[in-house]
Amino acid sequence: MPSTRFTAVPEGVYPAPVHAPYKSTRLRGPLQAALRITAPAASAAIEIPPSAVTPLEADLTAHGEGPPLGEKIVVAGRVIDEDGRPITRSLIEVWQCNSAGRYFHSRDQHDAPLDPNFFGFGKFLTDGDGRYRLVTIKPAAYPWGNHANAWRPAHIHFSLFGNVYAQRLVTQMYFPGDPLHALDPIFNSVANARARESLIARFSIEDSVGDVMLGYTFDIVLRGRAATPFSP
Amino acid sequence: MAGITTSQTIGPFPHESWRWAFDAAAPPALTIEGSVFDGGGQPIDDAMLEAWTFAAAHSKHNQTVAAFCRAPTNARGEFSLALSTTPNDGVYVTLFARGVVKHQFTAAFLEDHETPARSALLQQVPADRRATLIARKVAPERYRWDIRVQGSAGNPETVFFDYE
Repeated sequence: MPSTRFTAVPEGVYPAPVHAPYKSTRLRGPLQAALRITAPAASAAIEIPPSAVTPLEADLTAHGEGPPLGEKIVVAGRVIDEDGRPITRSLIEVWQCNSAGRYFHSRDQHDAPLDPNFFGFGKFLTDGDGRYRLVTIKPAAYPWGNHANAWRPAHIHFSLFGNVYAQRLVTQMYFPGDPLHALDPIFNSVANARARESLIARFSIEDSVGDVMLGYTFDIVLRGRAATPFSP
Repeated sequence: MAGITTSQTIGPFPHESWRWAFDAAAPPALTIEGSVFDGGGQPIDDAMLEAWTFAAAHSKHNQTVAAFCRAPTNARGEFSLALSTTPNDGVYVTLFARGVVKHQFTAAFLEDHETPARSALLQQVPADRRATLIARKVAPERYRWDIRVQGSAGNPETVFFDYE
């Protein structure tokens, strides 16, 4: 019997598959609703060997000849499921542009400089309590051609494997107080305001490291509840 | 009960971050090749696919993560999933792409291996949509399976799942 059940996601919590202001969705969004099915695989354990990551991969500032340009930050958070249980020793991948708004990627042609000391990707595991900690530099906004004067708000891409197969999630973390949030079709493809705002990290003086870097908190809730609800 | 964190597209630039897991099984026990198409019939050249073969033996895999295979689509929208083992009941595939705002769960069933009568999963798919999940054999241990992320006239949309 599966150890995890996945209740239906309320309308508006996920982005609309076709959200016309985000042009790429028009021909890429599925038109049919996902088929609700039962499969033991949904609860299949996802086990990432500890050897798949090295400690240095959680520090995106440590891969050049010297420190990258930009504002060094630490992003820390906890990953839990819908019952509040920690998602332990699970893989998170991240990627982002540099402090000038340029990705280290052959297809990014934005006329902003690459930083020879910043590549903008990493991966790490959550600990036994679901916590993670990522050191990086604050990414910048960049233009993306979706419409006239279209700028993506600064964001870090997060890819989470979860503890079981159906917990997989890819999302984006945004920064508080960014005036571009209100103008971004990708952010606003999520109709539910609470769900949208859950993508915005909180500034955290507690996670800030004196003389080194400011801190942000980004907690993540993956789908999944105990198959047998706890009854006291 | 906490509200879930919502999804966002992978965008066009995940490759450097995701590349570590492009290590194909060598030699593969099974290869599934195909293309990913949009609703206009155009190939999608920046998609990512992940495949899991659960509940199968992985005695000779040489991949970083057992039972797991990840592959990008190329400039022509083609992918090749080199699997370390033959599945018991479907190859579980997750699709990501720019413009795909949430990962899409689907599965491929080998035409000479998994019939609806044998597959608990395929039985749950309406009979008239099952064809989108069948991988056709093109050579020994090689199969062809295309994904249409959005359907159009004459080209049915691939069935995507939401697990209970």
